[in-house]
Amino acid sequence: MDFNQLKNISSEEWDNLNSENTIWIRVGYGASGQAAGAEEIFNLLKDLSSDNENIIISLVGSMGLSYAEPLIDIKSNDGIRVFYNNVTPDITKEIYNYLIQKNIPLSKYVLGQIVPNGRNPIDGIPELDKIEPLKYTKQIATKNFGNISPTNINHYIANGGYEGLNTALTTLDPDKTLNQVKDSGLRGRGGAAFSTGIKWSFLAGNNSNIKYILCNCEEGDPGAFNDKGILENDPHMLLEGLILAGYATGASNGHIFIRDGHEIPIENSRKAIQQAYDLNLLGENILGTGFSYDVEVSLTGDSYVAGEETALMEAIEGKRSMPRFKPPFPAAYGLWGKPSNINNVKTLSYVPYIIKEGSDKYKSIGSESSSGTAIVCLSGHIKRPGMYEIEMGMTIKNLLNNIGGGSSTNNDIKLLQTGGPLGGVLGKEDFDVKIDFDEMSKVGAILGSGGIIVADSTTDVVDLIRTLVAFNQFESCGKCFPCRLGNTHMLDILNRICNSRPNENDMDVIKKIGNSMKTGSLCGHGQLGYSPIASAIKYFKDEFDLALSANHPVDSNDEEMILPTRTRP
Amino acid sequence: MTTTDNNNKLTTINLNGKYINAKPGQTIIQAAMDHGVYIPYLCYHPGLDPYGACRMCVVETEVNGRKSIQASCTTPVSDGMVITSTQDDIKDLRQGIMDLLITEHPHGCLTCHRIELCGPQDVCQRHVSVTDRCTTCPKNERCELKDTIRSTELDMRTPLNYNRRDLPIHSDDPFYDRDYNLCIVCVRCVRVCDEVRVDNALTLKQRSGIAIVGTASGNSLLESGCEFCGACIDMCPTGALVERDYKWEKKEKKATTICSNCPVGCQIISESNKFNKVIRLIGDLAGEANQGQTCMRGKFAYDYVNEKKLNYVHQNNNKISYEDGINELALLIGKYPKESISVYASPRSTNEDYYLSKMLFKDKLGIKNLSLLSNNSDEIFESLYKATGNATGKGEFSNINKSDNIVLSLGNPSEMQNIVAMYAKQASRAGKNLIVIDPRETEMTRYSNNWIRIHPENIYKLLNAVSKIIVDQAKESPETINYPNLDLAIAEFSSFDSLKIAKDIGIDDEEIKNLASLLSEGTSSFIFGTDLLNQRDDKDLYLSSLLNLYHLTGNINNKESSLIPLINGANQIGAIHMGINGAQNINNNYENQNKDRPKLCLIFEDGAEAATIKNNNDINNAEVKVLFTNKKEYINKDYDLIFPVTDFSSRAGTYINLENRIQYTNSSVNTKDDVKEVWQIINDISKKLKISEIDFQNKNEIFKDISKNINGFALIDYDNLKNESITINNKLTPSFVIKNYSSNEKKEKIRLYQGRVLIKDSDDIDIIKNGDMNEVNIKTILEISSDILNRFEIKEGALVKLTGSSGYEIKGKVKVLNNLNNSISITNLFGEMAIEMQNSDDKDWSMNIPKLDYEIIEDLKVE
Repeated sequence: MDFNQLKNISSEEWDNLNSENTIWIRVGYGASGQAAGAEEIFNLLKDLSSDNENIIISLVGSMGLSYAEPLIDIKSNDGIRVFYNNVTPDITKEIYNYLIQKNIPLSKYVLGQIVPNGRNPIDGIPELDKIEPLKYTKQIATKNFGNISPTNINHYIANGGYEGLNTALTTLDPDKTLNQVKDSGLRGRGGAAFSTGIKWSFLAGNNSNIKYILCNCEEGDPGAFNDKGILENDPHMLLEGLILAGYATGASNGHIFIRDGHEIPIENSRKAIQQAYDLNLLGENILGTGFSYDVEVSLTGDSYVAGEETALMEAIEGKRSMPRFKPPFPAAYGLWGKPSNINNVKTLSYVPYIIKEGSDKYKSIGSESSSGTAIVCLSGHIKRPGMYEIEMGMTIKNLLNNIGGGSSTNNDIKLLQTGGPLGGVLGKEDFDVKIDFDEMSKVGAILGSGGIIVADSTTDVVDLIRTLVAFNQFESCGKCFPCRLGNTHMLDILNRICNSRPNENDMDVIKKIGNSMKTGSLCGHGQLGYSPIASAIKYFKDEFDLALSANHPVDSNDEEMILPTRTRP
Repeated sequence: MTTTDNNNKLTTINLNGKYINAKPGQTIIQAAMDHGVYIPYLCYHPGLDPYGACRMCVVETEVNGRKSIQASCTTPVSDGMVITSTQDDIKDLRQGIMDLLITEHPHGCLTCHRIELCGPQDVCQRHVSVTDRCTTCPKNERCELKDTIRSTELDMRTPLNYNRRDLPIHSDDPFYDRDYNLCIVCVRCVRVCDEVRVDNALTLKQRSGIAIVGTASGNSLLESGCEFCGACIDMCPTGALVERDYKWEKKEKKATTICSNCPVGCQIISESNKFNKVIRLIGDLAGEANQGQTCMRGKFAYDYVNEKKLNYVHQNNNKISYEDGINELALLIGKYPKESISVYASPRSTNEDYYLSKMLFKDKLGIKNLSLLSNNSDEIFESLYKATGNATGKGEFSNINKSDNIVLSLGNPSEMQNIVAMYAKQASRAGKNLIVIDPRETEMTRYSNNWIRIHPENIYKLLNAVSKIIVDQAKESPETINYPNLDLAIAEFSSFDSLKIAKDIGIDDEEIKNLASLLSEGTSSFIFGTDLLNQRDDKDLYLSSLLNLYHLTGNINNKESSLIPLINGANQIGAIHMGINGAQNINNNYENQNKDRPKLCLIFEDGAEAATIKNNNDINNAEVKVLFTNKKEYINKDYDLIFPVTDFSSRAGTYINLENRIQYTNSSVNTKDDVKEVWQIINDISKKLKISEIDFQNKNEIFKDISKNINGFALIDYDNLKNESITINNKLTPSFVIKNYSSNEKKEKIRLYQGRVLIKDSDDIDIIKNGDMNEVNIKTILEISSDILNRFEIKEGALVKLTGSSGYEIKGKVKVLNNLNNSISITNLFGEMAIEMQNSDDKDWSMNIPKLDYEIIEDLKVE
């Protein structure tokens, strides 16, 4: 079967759903939708429509608007999609009955509408891309979210999916494909922000007949859910990127590495891979072009450090996931001793767009040094928690206000926790900084995985830092001495401080430990272990001084929850 | 200002301001060590792969103007690299890490300036609790952590709290004491158990602040696959892992010795205390045969040298002077005709002893009955000699994993020649084909990817079937075979039908074809014994078939192919080189020729299995018995004359191992009173008997004589041998040995094959306490072949009681045994045997570990 045939079959299925005879109700069913009760809504709608053949109820991905879940949208005969937010079973019934009886949307629950070309919008309902926060977003990797069923490859193909792959396989050779990625200015979204094209070229230059592309969805950072989000809501986007990476670098195998416990991403990735094999988008001689490539899902146990690139390889090999020393680097000696290349889920998910639309188009998005978009995850004291894809270059302040809608409490936002628990905090002074790899690193913050946890002025910084260090301590793998012991002692000292039993020189001792960890540790987990404390001291030294004066009132918090018991002596 | 020497391809680096040459690919710490520069380290060990955990070895490197801080144990040198290891910021970093490290190791003493001054009973002014003091640590005198801490110049007061782990001390397993309160989690023990021993009995447990070393399965080493080789103990930089025997003894001196418990020839550092007791044996990394490794027998079966030693000559159990003893012996030798004298040499003697023994007894006195007191089958040496022109095999152990296939047949090297098994396990790990031919389940069958389970008497048929396929292939295309005498082979095998043989021995035809293609396509090492074969004919058939196959697969002149006979007796190979035969041969001769039994027996007992002496009718029936021993227990045991001779601890001289490697062993303690080396006694008797040719002042003179007269020893310098070993290069010439292959079908009784492995399913094992010590309780599983099950109408899961012909009884649950007919298989746990050995009354137990044999089953009853 060639690609056009695939496309025709897919379009047919898609057009049927969108035909005038059909009312298509989509229920957002990502992790946030499920948590908010989408399953109940879905079952209810199924029951309600059981006698109506023209109504189709589908589970689709989540749009990322976590605050609006459960979120459903109804495409009625006129082709207009109307979105309803925060629906309950009662509201759902009301909306459904209203629709059936009057064939118009019940506007009081409506979030917005999407109007097909050539149709007039319904009065009194805002167009979805004009509402806050969506009017500030720019969707590339997340464009299918909420639109298609993540477990249906035809939906993906019908919406332009695998066109990038087809283009590359039929019109570009691997070198040209790689150059497209290089020229696009795409940088790794895992944290290091290294040029993806250059990274790929290390692998492409290796002549080994077995080479691995590893996609990292360990995603253990609290407050980050965009990697999982992509696999939950549109796994084929990642899979296409992974195949393209294999083509560009001449790799033989791809692994999607997912933390055990991320159930929906695991399930959806496995389904997607199987569907791709079924359509010969994976396997031997893909689409008859002579390119062969295999992909599988690999799991780790409960380990944050397994997300470190070499620890990840150890985990795939079935060993205890602890980082290897470097050099040798993975490009020379990686998984099973073969050349390997590790990419973040988000990074790979941009690749189909880059190949399909061209590197120039991608490069025109975002800022000069950081092209493209950022997928940020907002949580904490913020009005509109969720996952948003925004153009690089937006300031933090705009992100918080325009996208997030400001503080969810009556108190001002005091700080942000960015880049995961190793990333540290960002104080108000720096909220004018642009979301851009280089701009952020100038103020000592990292965008990292894109998780941003918002904290208002009631947050006790010392307590927050204790929580972060507790996380890092719990997740230290136990291999290298500075990290294993440094985190443990830093946590003990911080805990003592929080319990109003500080020593005079505690911060000096912590600093010395921190320096040993920074220069002495084997991997990033230890090397960055001190950065939460360093960044907190930068913005909130007075709070630490107060804490050290021994009359620091600890309003925290459940120590049982914060202090790991299983990893401390 | 850097240069590269193109001939040696050395890399020039600048280390602390000095230009030095390093080997390319070497890590910084290796290059520094080669040049005598000390960089502190804890997790690094020269015998292990780099790991990079302790970060103690950090240095600053500068490459192309880019400075960075790197761990020197993992960073390879590169040309022009500038390395500094001593400046203040690096020192501070090390101190910072050490500050952290010592919070989980007792360190009151380690950071104290009085560390070398305090005794165990002193009042401590720093209030270091008694259990946390260095003086109460068994490794106090040899603690690597102490040395490392000293090099980092830590302050007496450290800023962080010490957390004593308060873990229980494990002293309930055999041989080892494990105190993880002293562990610094460098994981050397885990790594050596994995990388080198391929056992994985130890593992890193837990994570973060409580990461700790432990057993991989269960809490006892008995159930975790431990082979009690002691490698982890030798690696441990602290007092966490120690040998229980002589745990607290202080080393006074050490000597480089060659282990005399088997013919592997492990180089071992023997430590002794001021009371002349051997207190510890440690694998020597410089040892070429063992590369730092030992085994349970090598590391722990030495205590016999410390107790109840015989120091004087005894006649009729009364002490007499040495001179009187020599007089008596000379009289005895004069009294009996040479045909009535037999001499049994010790398998642990040196080449020098053998050389002189042979010279006196055989050459001068004409005593034909000079042999080694071991149970080695001479058939192995005879067959090797007939098939290759050399009786002792070839090849170095380190080459085992260079060949594509390792054929291991009828041997149990993991228990009997342990280091050979270690190399085979490493090869298996590296992806080589380990083909095991044996009906018993042994440790090696667990590592084998091709275990052919077959009755020992049928193995020759299997081997011939494989040979036949290879020969047939060569008939078609002769270039596939690297064997000169092809026509003979073709003729020899013309009447063979490999399909018929396959059917006859119950092995799948495809399996035989697969074996043939593996062996004909790749290089192979053959490691073989004759276990389970009792009849001379069976052994001959088997050995000649095996060696024919070795020739046909073109391995004989291949450097990567080893041919290693699995025999016992530390210097058996040396004895062959010196011209002494094995014992069984002579026994057989008497049996066959109905000759008179000898009347005078000279017995050099050291290293013989107890059963070998007990079952030797010559010795039992002799009129006069003269014993040469180091053990007092032989007084009052029916010996007419007993001479005290040196044992492992005080013996010096040369040994030859299975690789034909000549190695020098030093004495570690001095001899006392009238204890003599064997050659001295022979020298003295010779003088008494007025044999003027035997008059040597020292071993060096004997060795000069050996050099002159023995093949392969020319130009070998005795003094050089004390520094490095020399391997005799055996030239082998293949010759096809033709045997009468018609075998008489015997209606065999049911056989119970006994096996033993390091680890079994944890459901089948309970660790129970017997007093303070662990014991193993194993559910007995009897794997019974289906033909027996059908015959006796037994179902799987039934409880069955077996009675053996020797009165042996066992009860167990039935499982089905595949691949063998008319057989029962039982597999025991190594740990059980380790306990038995530790508790053995015989301190020289290394020769007496229970062999894996088969039992004839007379009766089988369902309970």
